[in-house]
Amino acid sequence: MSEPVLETDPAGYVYSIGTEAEGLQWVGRESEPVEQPYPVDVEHIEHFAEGIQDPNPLYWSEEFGRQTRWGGRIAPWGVIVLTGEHRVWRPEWLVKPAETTTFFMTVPLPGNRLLATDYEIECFAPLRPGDRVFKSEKLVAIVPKTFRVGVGHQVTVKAYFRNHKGELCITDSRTVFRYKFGTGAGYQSAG
Amino acid sequence: MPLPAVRDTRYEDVKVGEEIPSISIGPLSHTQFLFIASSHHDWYPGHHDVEYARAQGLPDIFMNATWQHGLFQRVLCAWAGANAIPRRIKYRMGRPVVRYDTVTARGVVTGKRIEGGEHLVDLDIWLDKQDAEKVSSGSATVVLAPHGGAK
Repeated sequence: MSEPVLETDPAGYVYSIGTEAEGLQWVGRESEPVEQPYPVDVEHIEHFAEGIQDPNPLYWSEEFGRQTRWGGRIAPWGVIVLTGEHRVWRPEWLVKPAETTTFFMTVPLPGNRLLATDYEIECFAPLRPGDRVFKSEKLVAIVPKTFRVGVGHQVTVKAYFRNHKGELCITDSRTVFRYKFGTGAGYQSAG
Repeated sequence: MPLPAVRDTRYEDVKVGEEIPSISIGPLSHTQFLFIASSHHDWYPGHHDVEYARAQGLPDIFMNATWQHGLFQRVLCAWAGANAIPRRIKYRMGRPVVRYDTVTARGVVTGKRIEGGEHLVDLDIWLDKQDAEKVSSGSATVVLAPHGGAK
């Protein structure tokens, strides 16, 4: 089997480039659970809530949380993005965390850019400060599509987030448009 | 200010067709876009680099999906109360949220049911802009607190 062709976009995301037929062969694949590099912590929770300007006391007060059925602070769903790899800079000598790349980039397809279009999130139990998070993925579907930004495929991946007790806390099905840069009509001109 | 009291929406009080209280954020400055990129560790250039976003065929830098989800979660939890949990939030992103937009999260109750002992409420949800243009729309299911009360 030949080595995959890799392309890196200006954001630093690395794409495996291939044909639609090659990509379709990946549908149904599942990845092994990988522990995210960072556990959930109070700073993650507050930082995330600050971006949403969310005053929900469950995210800000342990005392308030103790008065609820949760028994303490909990995290908004979105905090899982903060437990993943941080890409801006790390020292060269630091051991890289476990691979957390996603099927959105690793499935071979012609596209070399991403744009999110659809989300479906299910919450079964809240994440809490101190939780270590394990993520696995399933490649659900690949559908050819053309939007104003370009020609490509809608790729649907379902991610499963479990805590260190093995409880399924969150599933995150998202559909991303993976397209070939430079093939679109443009947002404005397609008006 | 004192700690807010624990409050829960009671299943019995929910009416199909009722609109839940909306929440607005904005106008969103460039600084807020940078803060949100930082607070989500989402350094995809389309969320903070105007030239990059326009080169992708978009009108301006655009807000990420996680922020939109967070806004949906905020509006649902603010209405449902501290002991509720949004079980499912599903939405499609249409128009991008760009600089200087004011975004409002809204919801309307479409149904209520008891399944497996859980008190479930279904809603249509959407985000719109200052000109009432819809940004994202979808549906949600919220599990209300057992017996509508605190611990």
